[in-house]
Amino acid sequence: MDQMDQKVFDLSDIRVLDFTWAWAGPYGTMLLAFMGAEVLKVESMARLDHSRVRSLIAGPTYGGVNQTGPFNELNLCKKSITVKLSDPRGIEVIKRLVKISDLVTNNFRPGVMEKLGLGYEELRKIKPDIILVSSSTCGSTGPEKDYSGYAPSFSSISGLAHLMGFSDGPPTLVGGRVDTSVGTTMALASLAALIHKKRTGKGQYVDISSREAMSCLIGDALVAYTLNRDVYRREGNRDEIFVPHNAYRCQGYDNWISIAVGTEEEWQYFCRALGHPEWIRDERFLSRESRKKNEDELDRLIAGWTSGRTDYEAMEILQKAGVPATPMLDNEHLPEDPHVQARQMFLKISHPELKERIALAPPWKTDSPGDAQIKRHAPLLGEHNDYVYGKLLGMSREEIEKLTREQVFY
Amino acid sequence: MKGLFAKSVANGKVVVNMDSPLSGVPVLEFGPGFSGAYCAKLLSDFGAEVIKIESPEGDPARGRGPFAGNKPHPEKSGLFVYLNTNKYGVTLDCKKSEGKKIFKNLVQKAYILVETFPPSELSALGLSHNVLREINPRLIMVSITPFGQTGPYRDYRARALNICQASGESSLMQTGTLEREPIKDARLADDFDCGQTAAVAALGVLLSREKTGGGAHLDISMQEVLMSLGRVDILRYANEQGLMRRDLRGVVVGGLMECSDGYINLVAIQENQWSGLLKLMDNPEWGRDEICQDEMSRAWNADEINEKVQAWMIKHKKEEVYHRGQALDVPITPVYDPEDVVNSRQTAARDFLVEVRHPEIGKVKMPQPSYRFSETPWRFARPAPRLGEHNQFIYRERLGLSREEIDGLKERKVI
Repeated sequence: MDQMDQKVFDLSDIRVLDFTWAWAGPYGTMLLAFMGAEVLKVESMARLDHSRVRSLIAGPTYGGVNQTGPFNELNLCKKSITVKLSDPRGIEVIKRLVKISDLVTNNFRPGVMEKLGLGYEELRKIKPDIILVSSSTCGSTGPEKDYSGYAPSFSSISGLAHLMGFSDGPPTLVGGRVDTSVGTTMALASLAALIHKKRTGKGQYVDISSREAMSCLIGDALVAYTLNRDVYRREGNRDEIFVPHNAYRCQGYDNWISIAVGTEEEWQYFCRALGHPEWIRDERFLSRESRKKNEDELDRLIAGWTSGRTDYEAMEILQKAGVPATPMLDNEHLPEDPHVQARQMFLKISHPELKERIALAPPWKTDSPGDAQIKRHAPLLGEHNDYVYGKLLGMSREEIEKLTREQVFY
Repeated sequence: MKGLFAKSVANGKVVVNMDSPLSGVPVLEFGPGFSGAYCAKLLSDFGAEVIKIESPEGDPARGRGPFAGNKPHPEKSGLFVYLNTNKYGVTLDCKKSEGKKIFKNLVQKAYILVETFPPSELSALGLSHNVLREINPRLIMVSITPFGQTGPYRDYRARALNICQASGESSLMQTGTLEREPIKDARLADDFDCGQTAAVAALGVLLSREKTGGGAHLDISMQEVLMSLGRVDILRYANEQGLMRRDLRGVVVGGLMECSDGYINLVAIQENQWSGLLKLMDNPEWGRDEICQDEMSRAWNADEINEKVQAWMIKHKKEEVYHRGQALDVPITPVYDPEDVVNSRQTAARDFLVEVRHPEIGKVKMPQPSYRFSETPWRFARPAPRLGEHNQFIYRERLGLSREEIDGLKERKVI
């Protein structure tokens, strides 16, 4: 069918000059690259993207700058150039690139772009309809604008960590998925600004606060405070409405089944599936309210059933009965799951230094099979200098060689 | 007609102003759960004209707190206000054939449809993508489901808790123990995150539409969205056989620390951060020990060092170490609860909380988006709709039904 070949995403006319580094920003611009935008990642040996050298969890990593996990997972389909921003000749080259770009992105601390002579007002002089999207810990205004942080910092100060964990335990900090969520916000804001530009011809400056991005995910808890002065707390896996709502231990080593019963209908399916139709008439569990009141007791009874089964057995029995239930999967077991395999989430891609590497597919699928593929590995450091400086900017080979020798392209 | 926003021009006149990126872009939202509602909320934050279709019983968010005055009431849910401010709201029973017809008429006029039904349920209703694209070939249909439109689990039921567990996310939440169950994300965060990724995909297609011409069916699997967000940790096993488990802590100086009045998060990896931390603690003698000499040896001895830092922290207050630490370039942040977030001076200075009106509740303060657009700021357009509030307006003005026809639909419980 010809529809199958038709492109769904085509941002090939969009060029992004990307100063983002670490995790959050790079994930955001990678989503744009997945859609076909040309993302030029601005890097330098003088100030390496720390995802090329270390990780907050695993600490310093060994191997070359092109070989770390975080960098390779977060920069697929992009192009890399090296240029020293502390050299005025480097800034001149950057300004020439601004002229042929639609969007400039960064997640520096507020003020850094201005110091480099690349603040929004400067960029606008070079290209009046440019879009600048900046993401920082606290945003670029307010008394805490200069404060810095990483993913766990955003999770702590946004209210997210406070709401995660056991009710009798400490808060739970969250790492990677917080960064990538902020990155998703960055992609969203960028696309909206690009659409506005396409409709009106106007660019703009977009200022993102990472802690606010996380707070938006718990907007209901903030409204609970502004409305009623209620301060919500963490409650493990419990939910205010759904019950039972927890993960239960199964046979084997660290195997769990999660169960979330929402409606009266599901509750009855659930009791029958467990071979305990008498629970339906049991006074302790007669209504949602009573189940909620006796939730500890109910959880114990359920665990008695799950402990005699494997996680996948439990899922099959419960799903067949129409009850929401899934196993807990970790990074070792996800690739083996039949559904994950059928959806082809783990893809083999080639990499010049690492030979073959596994990459994860984009977070969407479309009518066009190509959209579910990864078209290119993360770039080697400075891999696209010749293309960008030579082809896009029309610099001569001698000129490029000279600036490389003099460590401007470095 | 191939233009990106051809429909914003009527009778030769531009009928929408462009105060917002998506001014005048018609969006339909339909289906259970919270991910679709959040996706459409993000589009309405950008000025899209979102029509929320509720079943006659009403959206599930109406049954969820926080309720004004803490009394459950379908028109007093703060969650519903947060998710639906600026949207239009209509009721429609799509199980009835008249309802289906109206739905199709709405689809015909929409650019984007956000829906969250199980794949088999939509087919059973006769409203699958194949049917809808006949009606509107340029439709961008965004389907958000637990496991996507294909594969063995496509019709499996799952809520956010289940998706969190099945996507690897729960295994990454470092509670420090395997003795207890893996936990879920905060409240509705996973639903909202999936809605956000779906919105990114929808805008990507919208921006491409001028060149591609056609519509699309976006298959958003919540499991895959969360896997994508956790991709670095998830791929650590596939590429390096690095197991990530919830009882394993990081091997760096810092992490969660307890102060005298609550918790903070500390990052002190790089040299400047480490020396700032020492200064914050008034340069303790042990800071000159051999194990503290460089990043690598501090990483190797992180447990021992963290214990010493913790002993200092417990004697100090979280706000104090936050501001003093940040002044010394140490990324320390307090663990805030919702009250702290609301009352933070940074929240106030950036007007992060905005006041919106609601006919049943009065004034409500809620977060505005985390991005400030210099040319197209977020604006309040209309309160979250009461159940069926815009039936007259949408069905009469948009679909051209007469008052009698609408009354008939009401009588037959279609709307």
